[in-house]
Parts: sequence; structure tokens; C-alpha cells
Amino acid sequence: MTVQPLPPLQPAAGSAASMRTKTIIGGGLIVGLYLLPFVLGESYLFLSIDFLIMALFAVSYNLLLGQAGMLSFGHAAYYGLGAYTVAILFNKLAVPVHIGLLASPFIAGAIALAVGWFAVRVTGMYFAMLTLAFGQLLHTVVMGWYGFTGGDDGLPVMPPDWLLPARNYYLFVLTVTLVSLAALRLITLSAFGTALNAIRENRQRAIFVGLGVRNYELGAFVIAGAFAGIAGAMRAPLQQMAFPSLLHWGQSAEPVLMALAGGIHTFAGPIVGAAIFVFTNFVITTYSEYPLLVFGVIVLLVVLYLPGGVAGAVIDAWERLRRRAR
Amino acid sequence: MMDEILIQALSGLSRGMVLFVVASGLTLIFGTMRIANFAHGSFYMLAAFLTYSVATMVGDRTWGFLAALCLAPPIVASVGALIEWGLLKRIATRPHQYQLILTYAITLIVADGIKILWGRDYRTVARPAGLDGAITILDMPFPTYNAMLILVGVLIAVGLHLLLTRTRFGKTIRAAVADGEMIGALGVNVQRLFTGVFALGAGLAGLGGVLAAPVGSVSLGIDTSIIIESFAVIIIGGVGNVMGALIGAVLIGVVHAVGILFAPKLAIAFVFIALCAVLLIRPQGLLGRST
Repeated sequence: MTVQPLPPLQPAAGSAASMRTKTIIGGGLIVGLYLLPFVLGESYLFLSIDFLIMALFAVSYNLLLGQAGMLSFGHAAYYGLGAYTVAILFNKLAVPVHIGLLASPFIAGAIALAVGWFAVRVTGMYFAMLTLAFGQLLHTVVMGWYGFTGGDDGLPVMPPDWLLPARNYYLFVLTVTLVSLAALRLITLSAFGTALNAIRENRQRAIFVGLGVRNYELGAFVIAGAFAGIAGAMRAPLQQMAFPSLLHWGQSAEPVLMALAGGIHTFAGPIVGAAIFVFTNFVITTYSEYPLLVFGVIVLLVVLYLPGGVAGAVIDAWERLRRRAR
Repeated sequence: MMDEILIQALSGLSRGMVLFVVASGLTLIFGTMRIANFAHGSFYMLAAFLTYSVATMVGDRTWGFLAALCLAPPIVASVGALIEWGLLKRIATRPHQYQLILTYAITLIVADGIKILWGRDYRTVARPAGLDGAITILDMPFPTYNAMLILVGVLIAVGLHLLLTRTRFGKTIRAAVADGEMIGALGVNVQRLFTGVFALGAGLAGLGGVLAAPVGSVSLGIDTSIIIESFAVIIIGGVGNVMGALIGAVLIGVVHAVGILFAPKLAIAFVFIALCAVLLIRPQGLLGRST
């Protein structure tokens, strides 16, 4: 077998001009997001908060699936642990939620380290099953440990007065999410992120060139878990409750669905996926008595007929239109 | 105390046998098709609800149960074949995550479908006459039905072993587990084999569902618990290995049941300690081949 030469590195993507356009669009988007609560009604504001949290949850997950090619099916465990970190600190030590949030990535990351230490010993579908099984274990522990977690009654969390108005909470979540996404972006572009890409593209070759593949995978698992923890820490005060269902495998399917719906090969893909997911979910739960059935059928159709995800299909259609216009 | 532990272990053994029947189907599907089939728990749940309906329709508890035993597994196997042939086959060449998500979508559809057809209530299925009492082991009562489950589990294990070692279909399955590409190159109709294996696996999940119906509750949510335990079984036992699944299922059943004596709410944690131990010592599973 001949070794294919690697394609030459792309020169810093197409010139300063496109960089400038990107910066302008990105900056405008951020300013727009900060102005949003001054035009949106309260119910849409809650939906927007939901979207921001899910976007961070999905992007943190895509560090595994999109970047490192690790198919985890237990990501909700770390999301839920983030929520419980805030809730337990609030209930046992009266720590306010915005301070508790700072602890959430460390707790979620530490548990992810313990699980990942075992899980990265296997790959592929095995890895999916194992992360799922460990996720359900954590779910069961949270469910059963009444004295510490409140069991299936959940644990109440109250945000401080200044965070109670929807507008303030939105601005808080927006800021935390943007900072977290920026950090994740830097990680994906770093040497560490490049190494994860190499593992996804060809694990065997990555091992041969001397990468400590398991350590990189473990690192990705811990970082993804930590950021999922931050997302979960913002979820609990929103519902004013931490529930065991936040750790359930049904919740673990959500970042997978969001990443696939938006596309796993770009950083922004899962964010688009989160928007699609939150909106679809909102419509279905509002109008259908059997949301799981409708949702399952939609997912089935998307998987069968839109291989590039919803976002991919939209881009395809757009390009076809443009070509026809020319 | 010793007697108590022993009886509890026996009851874990009977639960482990049901788990074995379900997980053996999952391990065959995984071994041949390399798909972690999330819908496997749904097949089990569907069969349990079918058992309830058939038993209610027939009326007599013995004949009702026997009728369900004859009807539910083939029905579920047909559903499985239909899913493989109609859905999974179409995305066979796409990355793993799509197959996983597709089987996940099926679990959602089945869960709500059962809600529509049967409602949200708990159901119970009566044990057949003659199996509803208890036998005495070590001066302690042990349910006859559970004793029968242990026997049936052993029979099914022997049957599966014969199927895999003595029939052409079984030998082809084992060859596919060992090297999927090779058997395609040797001219085996892989498409048909996959549909057959998926139907067989789904049928085994269905059989497990029927056997479990008179002991467990027939309710929504039993799909999740069985699928998680089945995954643990095949990781412990090794992929595609039915005897590994037997060892894994018995181990999990007994560890879980004895664990309940010591920490009722957290017994499942003991199962995971066993799972971690196996992963550290033999990542490919107790009877799995290293790749």
C-alpha cells in the first residue's frame, strides 16, 4: 500500500477580505443577540435561553463526535452533573447559582475523567455502549441517593433576585455561552484540536506517528464533559429545579441529534442544529399529544433522506438555486 | 444469612436467564452487523405488551401464556426483519452514528406507539397454572416460575449453541462475526444474512419479553433498563459470543440481586464495578477475541 501524501495546508483561508467579512458578520450577530431581549416577548426569551444552553451542550459534544470521531452516547450525564453541582451547592452551602456555576465544569470534568479513563479503552460502537451504560449508572445514582440529590423529586434551585427577570437571565446565559464557545473554538484550533482531527481521520496513523491517542481522547472527553457541565449549570436555575432526567439517555441523544442536524464538520453546525432542534421540539410539544412519535418519525425521515442533516440540505438547495439563477 | 444470600443469588440467576435471552439476540446482531441496536429493548417491551393482550384475549392463564409464547416472538421477529429490510439496509454504508440514531428514533416511535395502543397503565400477566406456587430450597420458598426460567434459559442456551454450531445458518453467522468482509467475498448473500440475523435477534428479545412478563411489571420504561443491562452483558461477555453473553448475564443477574441485599437503591453500581473490572483486565470481553 502506498502512502498518500497529505494535501498541502490551506493558506490562511482565502485572504484578509473574507476574514473581515466574517468578523463583521460575527460581531453583528453578537450585538444583535445582546439587543434581542429588548425586542422579544418573555416566552420567546425563554425559548432563546433554551437555545443558547442547547447550543453550548451541542458544541461541547461535537468536540467528541465531529473533531475526535468519538461517538459518545452518555453526554447528558455531565450536563446533569453540572446542574446538580449548582443545585447541591445552593441547597447544602447556600452558594448562589452564578458562583456555583464556576464549580460545575470542575465537578463534571472530574467525573468525566473517571468515566473516560475506562471508556477510552474501547472505540467505535463499543465506546457508544460504554458511555451510555456509565451515563445511566450516574443517572441511577442521582435517582437513588435521596439524602444528597433529592432522588426523583429533584432539587430546587432559586437564582438570586437580580437574575430572576427573564431579560437578566438571558443576558447572563448569553455571556457565559459566548465565553464558553470562544474557549471551545480556541481549543478546536489549537495543536490539541489538530491532533484530535488526526485521530478522527486515521486513528492507526495517529498512533504510528507517536500521538498518545488514548490521552488525547481522554482529554477531549474531559473538556467536552466540563463544558456540558456549564450548560447544565445554566439549565437548573432556568427550571428552578435539577431533575434526574437531565442525566437520562434520552437527554444524551439530544446533542447527537443537534450535531447531526446541523452538520458535524463545522464549528457552527451544532449551533444551527440546536436552533432547529429547540424550535422543532417547541412546535411538537405544543401541538402534539404524542411528541416522541412525531419526533421519532422526523428523525427517521431526516436520517433516511437528508444525509447531510437539515442544514446540509438547506445549503445544497441554496447552491442549486444560485446555479440556476446564473 | 448465608441461606438468604443463596436464595437471592438463585433469584438473580433466573433474572439473569431472561437477560441472557435478550442479550444473546443483541450480541448476534452486534457481532454480525456491527450495529448497537437501541431498539432491542423496544422489541422486548413490545413482546411483553403483546403477551398481556394475547393472555387477556385467550382468558385461560395457562393457555393464554402458551399462546403468547408461540405468537409474540414471531411477530416481533417480523417487525425486526421489516425494520432491517426497510430502514437499516438503506443506510448500511453510512457512518455508525446514523445507524445508532435510526434505532434510537425507533425506540421513541415504539414507546409512543405502545402508549397509543395500550395506554400508560401498568399491566400484569398471571403465571401459568402449576408455575404460580413455590418450591422449597434450603427450607426457604422459591417461586416455581423462577425455577422454570432457569431451566428454560439453559435449554435456550443449548438450543442456540446447536444452532450456531450445527446448522448452515448458524455457521454463517459465526463466520460473519469472525470476518464480515470475507464471507461476502466467499459468496454468501450478506443482505439476506443480515435480515435473518436481525429477525433472529429481535425474536430472542421478544422471547425474553414473554418470559419476563409474568415476573416483572409490563410497563413503559422497561425498554431502557433491559437495553442498558444488555449492553453491559455484551461488553462483559465479548461481542458476538453467545456463551459470553450467558456468562455476562448470569454474572450481572446474580451480582445485582445479591447487591440488593446490601444497598437496595444502588445495587446497579455493583454491576458496573464488575463491568469496570472486566474492562481493565480484558477490554475485549471475557470470551471476546482481541482485534
